[in-house]
Amino acid sequence: MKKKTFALRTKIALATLPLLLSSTFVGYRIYELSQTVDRRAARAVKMIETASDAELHMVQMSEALRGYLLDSTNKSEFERKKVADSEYVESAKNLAELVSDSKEISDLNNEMAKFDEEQLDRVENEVGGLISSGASNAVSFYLKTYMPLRAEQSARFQKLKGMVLKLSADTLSDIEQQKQKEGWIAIYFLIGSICCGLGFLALATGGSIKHISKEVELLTRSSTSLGSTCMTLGGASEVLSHSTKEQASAIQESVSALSEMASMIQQTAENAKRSLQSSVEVEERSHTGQEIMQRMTHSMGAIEQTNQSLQGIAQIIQTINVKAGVINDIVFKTQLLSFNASIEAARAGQYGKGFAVVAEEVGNLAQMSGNAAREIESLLTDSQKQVHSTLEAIKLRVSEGKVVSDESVRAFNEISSSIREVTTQIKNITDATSQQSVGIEQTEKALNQLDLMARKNADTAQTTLQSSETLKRLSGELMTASCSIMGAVSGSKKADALAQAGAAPVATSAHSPVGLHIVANDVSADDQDFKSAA
Amino acid sequence: MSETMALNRYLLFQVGNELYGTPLLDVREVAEYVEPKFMPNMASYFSGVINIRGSIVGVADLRKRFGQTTQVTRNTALLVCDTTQGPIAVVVDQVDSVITIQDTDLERSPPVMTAVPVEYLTGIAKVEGQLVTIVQLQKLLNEASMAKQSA
Repeated sequence: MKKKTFALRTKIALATLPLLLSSTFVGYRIYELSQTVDRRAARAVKMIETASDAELHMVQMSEALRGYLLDSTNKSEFERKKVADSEYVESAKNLAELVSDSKEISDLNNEMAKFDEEQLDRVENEVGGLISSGASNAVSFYLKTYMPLRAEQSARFQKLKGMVLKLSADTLSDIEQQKQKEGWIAIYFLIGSICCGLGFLALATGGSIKHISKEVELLTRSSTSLGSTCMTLGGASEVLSHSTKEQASAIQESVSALSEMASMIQQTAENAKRSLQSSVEVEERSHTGQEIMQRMTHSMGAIEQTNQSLQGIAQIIQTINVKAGVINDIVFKTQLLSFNASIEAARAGQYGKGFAVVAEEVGNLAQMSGNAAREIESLLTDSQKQVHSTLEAIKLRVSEGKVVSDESVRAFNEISSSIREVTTQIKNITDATSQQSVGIEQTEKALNQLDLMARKNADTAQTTLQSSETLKRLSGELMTASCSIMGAVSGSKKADALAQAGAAPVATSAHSPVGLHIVANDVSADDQDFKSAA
Repeated sequence: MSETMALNRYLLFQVGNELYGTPLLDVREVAEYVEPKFMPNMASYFSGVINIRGSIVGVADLRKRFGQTTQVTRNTALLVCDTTQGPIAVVVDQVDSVITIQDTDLERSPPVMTAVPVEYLTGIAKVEGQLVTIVQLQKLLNEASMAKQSA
């Protein structure tokens, strides 16, 4: 619409400007004229009024004088006459001012005033004096002197009145004539300026009208597509509303799931705490076990020492064995001695009889000693054997025990280190769970915000839906408006055609997703504008 | 009585696992075993000579004589006997005891074939449920010394 030319409004304004100027001028002229007419008419009327007033005052004056004449006691009548006289003077002065531009009337007025002042006042005062003095000739004086003067003055008044009336009538007719003349001039001027303005307007807006038609057509199409877009938008916002609701419910579910998760994590944290306690206890116990194992190792060492003392016992047994051997030797030798003694006793014959018995006894004792020594020897041997076997067994067992205890200690150490590792891991788990809790709290917050946003979105979608409805209605109105504009600009035929043409794109655009998409974009922009406008 | 008593007294000794007995008066002395000094050209059952309190005594190994294995133990002893050749020590595995054996307990001619020639074998005695071979050690040694001489 806006090319390199002026805007239509400007053009129209430019076209209307001379019209406005001329009409203003004409209006001013008429106003001025009416003012003048009014003034003149008012002046004419005032003139008549003032003349009438003067006459009235004159009549009042004579009436008051007459009244005084009739009732001489009533001095106030004379006073009234005086007041009327002064009022007349006033009126005469006013009239003189009013009729200043008419010499004839002015002269007459002046004459009358002069007459009143010089003749009538004097006579009147004389009459007054006569009346107040109670002279009998007052009435006759009044009749003879005053009345003719009064009549003369009345005649003058009649003349003046006639003159004034004539002047007024002249003025009024003159005004009428002027009015007529001025009216015609104004009408001609107005017609001329209107014609001029219209021509100028037609010249100025000729291009624009075409433009407007085109634009209106475009506008119609736009409004049609706007309508279809509104429908699409409505559907879209409905879908959006629906999906937003779903989203909101999903978020709600997420929030609940999250809270469940949080409680689970809480449980995990508690479990981890308990595990930590348990692991600490286990560690303590493993420490105790280690200590016990160490004590056991010490005990093994003690057993080994015992073994050494057992070896000492074995040595002692060995020594005892040696000593037993000595005893055996002695026994052997004693036996041999006893045998020799027996032999000697037998040689001695009868004399050696007692000695033989002694020798035998000694032999027997030696035998017994020998038996005992042998028993001791065998016992010692057995003891030695047993001690040795015990020693061996203890050695074996101790070494086995040592190995086992070493292994146990190692195992306990490993358990301890494993438990420490487990403790660390549990601590890590605890840390992780606490971090998870924090994260979940934050996520929950975020989700709550999201929920809020979703609700807001739902509200917005609802609003958008309503807005699209409104927009649809507005586009319909726009369509109607553009049709009517077209009708106004280019006639009803073209408007109908336009309406039909406008209806067609609705059908086509409704079936064209691409067009729809493009239009939707445009509309969304429009929608934004609409929103911002709203 | 005492004579008979002296005659009935016997010295029991072991050679190998066998228990032997000899008349107590056949033995002059019982001595500890001493490793005999080797002499050349000795009889097979002679081991050598030893010194007992200054006198040289020959050592006969009855175990060899009786066909038993030779082994010196703690109980190995020497029975010194007076022979026609002089004192001879007999190596025995153990001197057991001095006992009295009644003639009734002595079987004079047992039906056995022993390593000891029968003429030196007095008999078999039963002592405390054991059978004891009674030999005449002096005679045997005389025979032995004679055999040595002859050898």
